[in-house]
Amino acid sequence: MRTEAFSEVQTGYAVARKPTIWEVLTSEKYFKWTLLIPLLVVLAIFMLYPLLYCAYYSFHQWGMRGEAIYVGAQNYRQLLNDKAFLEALYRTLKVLVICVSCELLIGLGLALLWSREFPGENIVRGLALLPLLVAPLILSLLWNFMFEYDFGAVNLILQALGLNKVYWWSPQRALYTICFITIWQWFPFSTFVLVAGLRSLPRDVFEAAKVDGASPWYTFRRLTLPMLSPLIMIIVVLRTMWLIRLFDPLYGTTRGGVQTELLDWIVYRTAFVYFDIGYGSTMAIFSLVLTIAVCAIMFKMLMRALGGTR
Amino acid sequence: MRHRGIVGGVVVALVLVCSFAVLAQEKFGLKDIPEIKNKKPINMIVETGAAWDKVIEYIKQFETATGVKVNIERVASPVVYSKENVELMAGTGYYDVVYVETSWTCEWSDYLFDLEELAAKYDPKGVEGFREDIQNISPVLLRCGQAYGKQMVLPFYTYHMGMFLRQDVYDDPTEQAAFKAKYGYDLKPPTTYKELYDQAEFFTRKKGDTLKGKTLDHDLYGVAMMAGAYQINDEISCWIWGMGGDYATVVKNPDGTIKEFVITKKDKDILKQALTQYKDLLKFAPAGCLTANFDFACAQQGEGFAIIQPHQFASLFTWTADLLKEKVPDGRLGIYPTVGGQPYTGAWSLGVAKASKNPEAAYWLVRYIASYDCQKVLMKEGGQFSARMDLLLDPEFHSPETEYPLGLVCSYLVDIWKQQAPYVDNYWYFNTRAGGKVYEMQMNVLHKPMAEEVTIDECVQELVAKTIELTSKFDTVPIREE
Amino acid sequence: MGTLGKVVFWLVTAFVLFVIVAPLAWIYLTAFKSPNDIFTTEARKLIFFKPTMENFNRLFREFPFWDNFLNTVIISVASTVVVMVISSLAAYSFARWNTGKGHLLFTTISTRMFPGVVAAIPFFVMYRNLGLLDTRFGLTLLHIYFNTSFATFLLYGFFKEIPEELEQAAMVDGYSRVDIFRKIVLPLVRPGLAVTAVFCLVWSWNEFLFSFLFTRVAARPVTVLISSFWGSIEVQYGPMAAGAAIVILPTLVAAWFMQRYIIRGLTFGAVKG
Repeated sequence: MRTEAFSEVQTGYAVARKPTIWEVLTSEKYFKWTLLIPLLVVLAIFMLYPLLYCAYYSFHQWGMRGEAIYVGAQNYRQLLNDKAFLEALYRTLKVLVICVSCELLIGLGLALLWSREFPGENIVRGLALLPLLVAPLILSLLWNFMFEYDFGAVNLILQALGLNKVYWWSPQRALYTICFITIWQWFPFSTFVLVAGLRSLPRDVFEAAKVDGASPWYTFRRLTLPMLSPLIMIIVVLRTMWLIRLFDPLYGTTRGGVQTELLDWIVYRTAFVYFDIGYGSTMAIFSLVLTIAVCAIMFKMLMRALGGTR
Repeated sequence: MRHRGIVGGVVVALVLVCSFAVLAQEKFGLKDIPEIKNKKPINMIVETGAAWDKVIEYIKQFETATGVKVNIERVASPVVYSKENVELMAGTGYYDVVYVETSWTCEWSDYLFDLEELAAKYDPKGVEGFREDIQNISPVLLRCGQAYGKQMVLPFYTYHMGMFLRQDVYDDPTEQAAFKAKYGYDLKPPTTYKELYDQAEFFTRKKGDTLKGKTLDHDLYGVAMMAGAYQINDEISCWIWGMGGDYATVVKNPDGTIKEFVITKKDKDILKQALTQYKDLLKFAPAGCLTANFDFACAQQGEGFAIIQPHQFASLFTWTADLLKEKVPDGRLGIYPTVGGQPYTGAWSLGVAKASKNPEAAYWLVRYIASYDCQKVLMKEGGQFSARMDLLLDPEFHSPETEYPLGLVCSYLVDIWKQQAPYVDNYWYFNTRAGGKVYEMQMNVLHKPMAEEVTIDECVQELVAKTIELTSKFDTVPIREE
Repeated sequence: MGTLGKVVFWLVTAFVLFVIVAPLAWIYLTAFKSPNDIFTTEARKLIFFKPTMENFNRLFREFPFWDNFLNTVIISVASTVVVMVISSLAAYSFARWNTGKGHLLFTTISTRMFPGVVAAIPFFVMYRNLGLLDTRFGLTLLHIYFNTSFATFLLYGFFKEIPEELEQAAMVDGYSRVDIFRKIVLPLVRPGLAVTAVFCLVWSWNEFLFSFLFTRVAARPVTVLISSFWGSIEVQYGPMAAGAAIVILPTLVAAWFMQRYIIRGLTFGAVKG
C-alpha cells in the first residue's frame, strides 16, 4: 500500500487533502496508542470500578445490609494485628517460593528434554498438558480422595508396594501436599512456554557455536539461558502473581483447615462467608499492594533482562 | 365396680371417637392445594444429593396439578449459604423458595415471610389449617425454624445428631465380660464422658488383637469423629449443650424478648472442658479424622474400623448401616442420645422470600414438600429422615423388615425430641441474627486446637473474641463477655 | 544421543507421564464404577471392576448436562476470540514501542493481583443493575476481563522475540505499520498465539468461582454442574467423574492441536539473521 499522502502529513508539507481518521490512527505517532484502545476500555470498566469500590469500603464497616459506617483506618490497624491473617500471609509466601522454584526447574528440565524431535513427541507433549486442562475444582476433589488415608489410591498403591501408608493431610504435611497438587497442575505451563521459546530461538547461532566447538554446558549457560531469560522472567512473574492468589486446591480438600489457610482463603471467608465487606475490602487492598510490590521488583528485573538481550 | 364399668365404657367411647376423628382428619396433600391464581414460574435453590433427586420428581406433580412451573437450581451443599446470601443481600429477588439451614433462620428473617401471614392470605383453611398440619412436625425443629416467635420455615429433613455404636459388639458376652473385668462396671451405651472415654480406650486395638473372639486383620479404633474444619462445631455443640453451657447465654426480658447475650464464665469453662475432652478422645480415633467430614467418619464405622461415633447426623444412620452390613455381615448399629442428652439439632428447611414475585405458589410448594406424601417419598426413596412425627411413628417403618435400620432411628428421633424440647428455645444459635456467620467461623476456629495450631486456651479466647465481633457487626442485640 | 542418554530420556519421560496420567485415568475409570467400587479399600478394585454406564445415564437424564456444555462452549470460544484480538494488539504496542514505559503493561497485569472473590461483589451489584446476571453475555465479559491481562503479558514476551531489524527492513520497503503487523509479525508469532489462545480457552472452560456466582440456571456452564455433585450426604464421585471425563475431551483436542502448531510454526517462521 503506497502512502505518499500519509508521509506528507508527517513531514508537515502542505497537502492536497486532510488525512482520514484511519490514517491518523495508523500513523507513526498514534499507531501504538490505537493498538491499546480496546485494552484500555476493558481496564477502565473492569478494573477501576472494583478497585474504587473496595478502596471506599475498606474505610467503612459494612455487612452488606444497612448503612456503611465510616471507621477511618481502623480496619487496617486491625489487619496488621490479625494473627490469623499474618499467618496466612506467611504460609502463602512459603508456598510461593516452593512452587515457583520447583515448577521452573522441572519446566526447564523437561523443555530441554522435549524441545528436540523424537518419536511419539506429539503424544508425549499432548499428554503432558493434561493437568492444565482439568478444572481446578475437580482436581482438588480428586486429589482429596486420592490422598485419603484409607481409601485413597496413593496409599493403596504404597501398601501394595509394601510401604507404609502416609498421612498426607497431617497438620505438618498438609501444606506440602497442597504444594504438590499445585506443582502437579502447573508444571506443564512453564514447560510449554519454554518449549515454545526454545523452538523460536534462531538456529544459526547454535550452529555457529557448535562449529566453534562449544560444550553443551557452555551453550546452555551463555546462549540458551540468556535468550530464554525474558520468558523465564515472565513465567516467574505470572506464577508469582497467581500463587499469591492460590485458592482452588484448598476448596475441595482442607478448606483452610490443618494449618493450610492461605491468603485468598481468609479473604474468601471474610468476604463471602461473613459478608464483612468492609474488612474483606481491606484485606483485598492490602493483598493488592503486596502483590504489586513483589511483582514490581520482579518486573524491573525483567525489563532490565530484556533491555540486555537486544 | 359399677363406677369402673362406666368409666371404662366412657374411656373406650372417647378413644373410639378420637380414632374416628383422627381417621376422618385427612392429611394435607396435593389435592388440598386450591387454585393458584398467580401463574408466574417460581425459582428455588437446593443442594444435590439423593434426597432431592427423589423429591424433585414429585415436584413435577405439583407443576402439573397447579400449572406453575418450578425452576430448580442445584448447587453443592457447602456453597448453598454463599450463593443464597449473595442473591438475598443484593436484593435480586430471584429465589422464591429459599433453602435454609435452621441456624440461619434469624439471620434471614428480614428476607423471609412469616408463613402464618401467607396462610392467612392464601389458605382457605387459614392459619388454623396451617397450624393443624404442622402440629405433626417435631416441635424442636419447628422452634429452630422460628425467628422471634414467627414461623419462617418448614423442615425438609433433619440432621439431628445421635451416637452410633456397634450394637453387636456391645451385646457380645465376650466383650461384656472383658470390659467388666477391666473397668468394673457393665458395658452399655455411655452416658457420661468417663464411660465414653473408657469404652473408646477399650475398643482401640491393634491388628492381631481380637474382637468378639475373632482375630482382627486390621487396626481397630474406639471412635470416629469429624474433627476436620467442616462439622467439628456440631460435635462440640453436643458437648457444651450437654454440660449445660452454650456459646453465649441468652438473657431474656420478662416479656420474652431478648435482652442481651452474655458469654459467662461458666460458658467459657464448659467450652474449655469440652475441647479438652474432645481432643483427648481423638487419640482413639483414626488419623484421618483430623480432616474428616461426615463421609469419612461414617465410612470408618461402616467398614468396621471404628466402634463408636459419639456424635453423627442421624440422617446418615441408614447409609452407615448398609455399608456395615456389606463389610461386616454380623455387624449391627444402634443409635442413642449423645453424652449429655442434648445433641446438635436442626433441619434443612424451606421458606418463602419476601422479594418473591409469586409468594402464593411458593407458599403452597413449601407446604407440599413438608406434607405427609412428599415426606414419605423422602424417607422411603430418598433415605433421609423427615421431621414429621406422624410419619416417623407410622407402622410401615416399624415392621420387622423396616425396624432396622429405619424404625430404630425414627423411634430415637421422636424420643430425643421429647427430651430436648424444653431446652431448644434457649440455644443461642436460634436466637441471634449472627447465627450463620458465627457458625461458619466456628468451623474454622474450633478445628485449630485439634490440628495443634493453637492451644485450647487460645482457641477459647479467639472464639469468644470473634463471636463478639461478628455478633456486634451483624446483630442488634448487645453481647458481652463476663 | 548415546544409548545411555536415550534410556535416561525415556525413563524420565515415562515417569513424568505416569505421574500426570494416573490421576486423570482415575477420573475415566471412576466414571464407569458403581458407588461400592469407588469407596473400597481393595487396591485391585482401582483397575479391575465391573463397569456400568449408570453414571452417564444419570448425568444426561437428570441434569441439563448438554445445555450447560453448550454454554461453556459459547462462553469460552467467544471470550477467547475477543481476548486474542485485544491482547495481540496491545502486546504488540508494548513490545515494539514500550508504550507507557512499562507502567501501562504493569497496570494491565495488576488486574489479576486483586483477590477475585472481593471483586465479585461490586460486579454482582453492577450486573444486577444492568440485568446481566445469569446471561452468557455477562459471563463472557467477565472471562474477557480475566484473560486479557495474562494474554497481553504472554504475547508481549513472544512479540519481543521478533527482531526489530525485520520490521525496519519492511518499512524501508514501504510497508505501512498495519501491513507489517498483519503480514510480517503475526505469522512469526503463530506459536505464541497458539499457546496463548489455548490457555485462554482452557481457563475460560474450567473457570468456577465467577461462573458459579453469576449464573443460576440459564447461563450455567458445565463446570458448575460437575462441582455441584458435592452433596450433603456424599460426594457423588460417579456422575462427577462422568461429567469431567466428557468435559476434558475438547480441551484435550485443542491442546493437541496447539502443541502440533509449535512444530509447524518452527518450519514456517524460521527466523534468519
